[in-house]
Amino acid sequence: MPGLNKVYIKGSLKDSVVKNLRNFTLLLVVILLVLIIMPSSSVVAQEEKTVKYAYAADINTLNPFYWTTVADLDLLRIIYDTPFRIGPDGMLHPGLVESYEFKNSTYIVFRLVRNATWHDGVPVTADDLKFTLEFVRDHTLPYLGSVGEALNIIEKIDNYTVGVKLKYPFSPLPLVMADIFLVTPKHIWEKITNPQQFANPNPVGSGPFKFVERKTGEYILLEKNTKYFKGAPKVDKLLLKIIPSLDSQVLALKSGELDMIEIQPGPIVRDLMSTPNVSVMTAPSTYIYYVDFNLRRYPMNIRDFRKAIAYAIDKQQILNILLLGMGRVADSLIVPSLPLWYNPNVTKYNYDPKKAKEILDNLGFKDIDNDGFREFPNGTKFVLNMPTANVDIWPRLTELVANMLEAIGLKVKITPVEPGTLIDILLNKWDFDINVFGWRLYFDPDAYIYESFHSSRIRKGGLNWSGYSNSTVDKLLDDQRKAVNIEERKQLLFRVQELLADDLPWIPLVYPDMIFAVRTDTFKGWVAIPRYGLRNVYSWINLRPAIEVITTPVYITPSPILTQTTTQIATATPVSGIPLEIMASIIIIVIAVAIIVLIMRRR
Amino acid sequence: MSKVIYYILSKSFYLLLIFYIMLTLNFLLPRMMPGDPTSRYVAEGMSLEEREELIKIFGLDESLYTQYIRYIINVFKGDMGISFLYYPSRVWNVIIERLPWTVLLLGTSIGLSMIVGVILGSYSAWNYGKKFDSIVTMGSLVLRTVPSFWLGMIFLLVFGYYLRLFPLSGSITVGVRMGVFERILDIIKHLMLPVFTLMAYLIAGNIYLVRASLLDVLPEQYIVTAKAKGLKNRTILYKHGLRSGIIPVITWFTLQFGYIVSGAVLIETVFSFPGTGKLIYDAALARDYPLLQGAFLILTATVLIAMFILDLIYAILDPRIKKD
Repeated sequence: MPGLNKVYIKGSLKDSVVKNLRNFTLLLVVILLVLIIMPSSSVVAQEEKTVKYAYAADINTLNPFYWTTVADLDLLRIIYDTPFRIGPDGMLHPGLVESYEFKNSTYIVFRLVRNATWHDGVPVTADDLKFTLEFVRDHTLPYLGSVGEALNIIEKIDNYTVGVKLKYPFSPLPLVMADIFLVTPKHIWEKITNPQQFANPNPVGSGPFKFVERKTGEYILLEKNTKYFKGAPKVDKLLLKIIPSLDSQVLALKSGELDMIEIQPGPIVRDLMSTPNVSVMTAPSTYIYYVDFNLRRYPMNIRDFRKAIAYAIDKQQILNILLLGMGRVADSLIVPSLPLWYNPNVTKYNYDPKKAKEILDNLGFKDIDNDGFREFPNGTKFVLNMPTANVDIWPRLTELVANMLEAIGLKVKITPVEPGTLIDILLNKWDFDINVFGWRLYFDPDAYIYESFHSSRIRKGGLNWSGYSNSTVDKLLDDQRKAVNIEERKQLLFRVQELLADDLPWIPLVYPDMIFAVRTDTFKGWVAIPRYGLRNVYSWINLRPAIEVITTPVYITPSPILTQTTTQIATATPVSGIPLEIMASIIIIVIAVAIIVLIMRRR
Repeated sequence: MSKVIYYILSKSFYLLLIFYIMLTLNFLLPRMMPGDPTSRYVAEGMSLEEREELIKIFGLDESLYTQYIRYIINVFKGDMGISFLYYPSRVWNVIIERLPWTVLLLGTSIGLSMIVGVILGSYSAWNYGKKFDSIVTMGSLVLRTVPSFWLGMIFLLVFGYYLRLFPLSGSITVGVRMGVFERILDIIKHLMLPVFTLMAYLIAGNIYLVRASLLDVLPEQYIVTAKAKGLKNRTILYKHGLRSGIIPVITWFTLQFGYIVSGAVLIETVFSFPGTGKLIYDAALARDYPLLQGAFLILTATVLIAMFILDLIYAILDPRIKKD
């Protein structure tokens, strides 16, 4: 066949094809050049003071009642406002509601601020708060179910005062409202016939920023509310970009396309720390990683067996390896970033594998056949089944825990499954022995701790999938809901934490920190708050252009103009040094070229 | 003439039958995954009552049979329901917002890689065994085997980050007022890197396909005849050679129509491009049945229609089929 082909090769064809190819490449090159020479439009974007930050996953909805994820909530909290807010100290501060008062254990009075308006100019009044409370009462809303259940009669006392009658004492109310309760305008929502199915394409709230536009999967743009009742924000716009790849987020931050990103612990933290004009900030999260047991199964139902496992787990090592030390070793099941409710004085289980082995020996779990793994006291072999989600941190975390269990002679089997399947296994099938899981607490711990440990929550699909049942804990959990006095409630929740630490239905592992990287040359004034990190109302109001901060440094005092030029140079110059990726690609290209040349020469 | 009508009618009948089977599969497959649409809210701390309420709102508390009937009726009414992931947006709105971008991205990449593939492939076949041939085949093979998300990352690093020629993410620059011409340029700029990354992957297939089918055709007698008639080599290659050599390429092109609609998850992720690939992936993770049904419906319809048109095109393109 090659011989046959040779016949056809003549100059004319070769020329014409080559000419075609040449024309085509020439065209491409010209287009490319034109594009490159055209000024980048991002330069224009700098003129407006737009704070740009990123989410890895898109938000679900703009409906202030039927939001479903924390990402939704954190965005909606910018557009809408909450009655209260949580300050950087983790405590309750006034928001739309100036003050509240428990008249008695089932009657609360809320007094609204008088100068707040909705984005369309209508003032925020008692009618709006009443409407929202009644809506919450009449519908089972996500995460607000227990609040809705407790509400009874809502009264408008005057234009700015609302009285709330509760069916039974429900002390979590103010904190829950500060966290996840968005006040909505009555004049808009009362006209909507089917609020569940209302996509709310143009949300009107009373928050510091107004909604401008959204393109699903790409961005959400907000602009400042100049009439915000606590003073207009100092930046013009907020742009939330959806950038699924964390690597792309880091590149965008480094090049100045973003001003703030949330990062995961890893080598990237050190890299960003040494990047000019970027600084890394941490904030305590309300997250907790823990080990839970299927208490219906032998031997997990033996308390001493769980204790042995608690002693076998080196929490510090998990913190160091997995989170690079960014976080805290956990002791109680309520996180320390909720300073009101966290009990530091619970039974602690410090890493002590010797003690763990001793306990197991005493229980009769011994390695009789010398295969390195322990058997049941009656001599049968056993394997502990640990299912885990196959995404994010979970496989590595589970593996670390599994290794520690194997070190004390317990044979475990890790089953990585897709996240949805894991939930099915845990909640509906109850088909697991040990599991490593995580939880993000809201500011009021009630929803989390009640659903997880109250025996009434042992049911298919319920969150007490461990099957933990303790009548004392049940009673304490019921009582703390009714306690009106914060101190009284605190004591009850402290007692619950102590009991849980003794009973060990779960073993707390670590409290991870949230890690953020921000550009220091564009905006300043980020405020870190537990649970929200940097994405909170305080930040959005407080942020301002960073130029001011550079004009008054402590150690250099150049003229403002000079500083400005230096900053510009600093932003324009890329980081020096060839990174690993470039090196690798150059090497690969060189090798590829070498192979091709070799093949050519052989011909 | 009646034969042609019969041909088209029978084809249409099978098309409808396949469409119906696909509809049923689209309904069943997502529901066979373990867990339900509220599973992902468990880790957010949603209680059982609240999740049951959502299930009711989603209409999943009804029997599978009722859901199926309603789904089929709604599909023929043109209603694809409400997405769970983007609740309460309508599935059609969610998809239509992404679809043009995916079609733009993948259409451009597939189209360009087709053109470049045909040119390089045919020239490569003509020069079988020569230096040009081995460079092209080796080079395209290397590009094909490099993982595209990695190549995308490298492109981003080099052209986006270090050289600052192209933006790092998204499909448009947000929050800037632009003229029409500027806006188009802006979109092209955003498209550039993802298109090149996709082309690097797609081109190899086209080159090999064109090359192989031309290598089959070129030794044929009629080519020799054409040569003997004294035709220009260019005419021989493009008019006689490629005419019959292009059939598999056209088939391949039509098959890729599904790809145009379904998007490319990895590329979309790396370049933060708002396409349907990432959407379908997210929908599967979130157990968003209506969104999955809607996306698959459009996918199925596109591929089926493309195949139908392909059958008709064959008759025009290939003299051998016309006779039968």
